[in-house]
Amino acid sequence: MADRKIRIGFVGAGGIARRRHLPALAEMADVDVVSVVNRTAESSRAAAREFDIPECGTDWESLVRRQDIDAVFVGTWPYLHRDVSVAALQSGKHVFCQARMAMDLAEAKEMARISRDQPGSRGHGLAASPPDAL
Amino acid sequence: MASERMGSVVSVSLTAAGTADRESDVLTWREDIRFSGRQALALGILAEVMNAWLGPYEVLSAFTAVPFPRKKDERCRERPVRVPQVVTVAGRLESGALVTEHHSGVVADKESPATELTVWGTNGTLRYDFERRELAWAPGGAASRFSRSRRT
Repeated sequence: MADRKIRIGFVGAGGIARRRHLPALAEMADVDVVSVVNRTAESSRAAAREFDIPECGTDWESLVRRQDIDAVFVGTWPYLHRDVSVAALQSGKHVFCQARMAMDLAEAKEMARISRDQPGSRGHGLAASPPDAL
Repeated sequence: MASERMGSVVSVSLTAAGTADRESDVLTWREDIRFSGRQALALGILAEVMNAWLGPYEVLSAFTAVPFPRKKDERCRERPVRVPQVVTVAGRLESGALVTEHHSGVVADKESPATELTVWGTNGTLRYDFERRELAWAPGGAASRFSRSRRT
């Protein structure tokens, strides 16, 4: 186990996040999901209540900039995958991006390039599902 | 497959059939290119699995269909559906194995939806059920049966 827990921010806790990712993360002793951001405050509050997440909101840009978060899960619809993933990577976060990875191949390539090119990267990277099937 | 226990892969069948595009006459985000982009069902997601497990295609052909071509948007305006609701793929992998894929989002019944990959080898057959996360293996031979194991 790591010296301290890995702190995760969740952007877009919709269907598969609630069915798969958040229950799986809740089982992990060395992980804390510390904040969830959905499109509406009501939806964010519902996800926070359901999974005992201490903070919630609607501003993903603030979430990905937080210095007390190690990794960002992106579970929004694909039209936001690039913007959230790139902003999180550029803030030094590890990123898990739900499939579908991007709106098109050009976006996906841009995300992969930015992930690889992070200056002074300590392994900050982008993972796109479906890792469970691999 | 890596241990070559199943021998050479002769042929592969992938089925990914569900009801998601039949459940409403309103466009879902998956059917709306403004939100989903250039996607077709779970084709790309499963292509990653196929590529990782079996290697790349050498050649393929595909057909698409949109049997329910008009749906309503969030403002109840009728809009054309531009995302394929059914896709079939036939091709050959670089390994030489032949592949058929059937993808559908418009299955009418609740019994037949499945996401399943079958790999026929010269020494036996592997089958993976993505929903149950169950791997089944049947070696060749007259008395062979599938033995199943669940991935966690």
